[in-house]
Amino acid sequence: MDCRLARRAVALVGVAVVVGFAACSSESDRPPAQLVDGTKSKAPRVHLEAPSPQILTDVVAIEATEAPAGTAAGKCLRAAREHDAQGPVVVRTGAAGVSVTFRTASGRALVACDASRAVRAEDRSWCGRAYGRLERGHLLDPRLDVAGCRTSTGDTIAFAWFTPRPDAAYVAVRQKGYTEVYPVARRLPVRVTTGDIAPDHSGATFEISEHAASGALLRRSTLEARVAG
Amino acid sequence: MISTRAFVTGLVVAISLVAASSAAAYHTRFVADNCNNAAPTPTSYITRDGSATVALRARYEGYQWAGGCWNDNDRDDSPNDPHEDAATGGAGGDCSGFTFKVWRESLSTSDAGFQQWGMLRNVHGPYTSAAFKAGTGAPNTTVSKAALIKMDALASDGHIGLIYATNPDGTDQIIEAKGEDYGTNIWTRTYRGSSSYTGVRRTGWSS
Repeated sequence: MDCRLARRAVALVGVAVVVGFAACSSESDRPPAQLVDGTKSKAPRVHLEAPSPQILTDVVAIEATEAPAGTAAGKCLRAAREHDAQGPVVVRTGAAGVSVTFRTASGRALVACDASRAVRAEDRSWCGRAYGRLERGHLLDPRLDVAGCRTSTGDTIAFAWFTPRPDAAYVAVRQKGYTEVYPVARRLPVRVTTGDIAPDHSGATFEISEHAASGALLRRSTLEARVAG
Repeated sequence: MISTRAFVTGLVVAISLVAASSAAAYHTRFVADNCNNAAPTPTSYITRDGSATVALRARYEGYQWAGGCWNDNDRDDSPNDPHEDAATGGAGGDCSGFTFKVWRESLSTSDAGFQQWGMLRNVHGPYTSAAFKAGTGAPNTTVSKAALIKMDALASDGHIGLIYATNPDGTDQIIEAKGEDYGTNIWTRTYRGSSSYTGVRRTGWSS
């Protein structure tokens, strides 16, 4: 009798462990159901030659002179008003963060505002800023930002620019349990995010693939970015 | 009489040697040969003057993008590295790495405590100058420029320097890792008068 009870107890514990493990792993590996602004996450229109599931980052490009004051674009231009903007302002809303990128009027630098939650008109939303020098139009450094941004669960999130090859239509970044897809916009470097951070080395790793408009893989690379300057 | 083939071969070899020596100059061995990953020592009594002494040991050293290791031999052991290349492995810190180390900060942005980093510890820290400018991290805060005193900082989105002294005309003597072409030194600056720069303070000094 005791022996049967003990066997049942062991079996119950075993089932609980298995169920618990499944729950944990599905929780951590499950792709986000929504982007940080609360909109439902969706897959890109074309399936990329990259691991699934794939989540499309929302991208909006607006001219600097036309950015409404209360929007993410307008708020970033105001927060970084010492840098005169010229040309398009690209706003990206992803599963873990929001970024705004624009080129300065001199054409010698890029500026980014980073946020880890939706940018609202009434509050200070930016958790990071980046300033990257351009030399002959090329970004010298990805301007990794790891200091100030946290997800809603308290995890640090890193932002960096990635310069795609000219024929790339999408940049995809491998995240834990999914692939985040960034449409290339207005020939500006793409501000990408990752949770793969190495605090001891003040660095972060981005597993990146670049894709054609058809979704075909063009190139895979690893961006090992370091905090600098 | 040298044949065309021999001439072309010689030319290719010569060009390869020049290219190889240029590449070698771009990737020095300073960090690999001299720097370490030793753990920092937590310390509780830290003064601004003591921090200035730490900063002065970096004076006349080089500049390394994303770097934070120097040896106090008063020269740049890796001159003429390409700009903004984190992989060149040269001597010195960059502006934010220098500030992080002189302010004895922690790799954790939520830790406001003081950490004593060895001069040869290769560490940069999590802050860019833009992050310092925003007062990001538990030890850091923004302050009005009028309130700035010795070993406070002036930071822009692209640079940060520490106030070593203030001149009678209102300019400041800034100790800073200025750039690959300049290294680390004290220069008179007008950052305080520039709208691009914000006052930043490391909190928690003993005096």
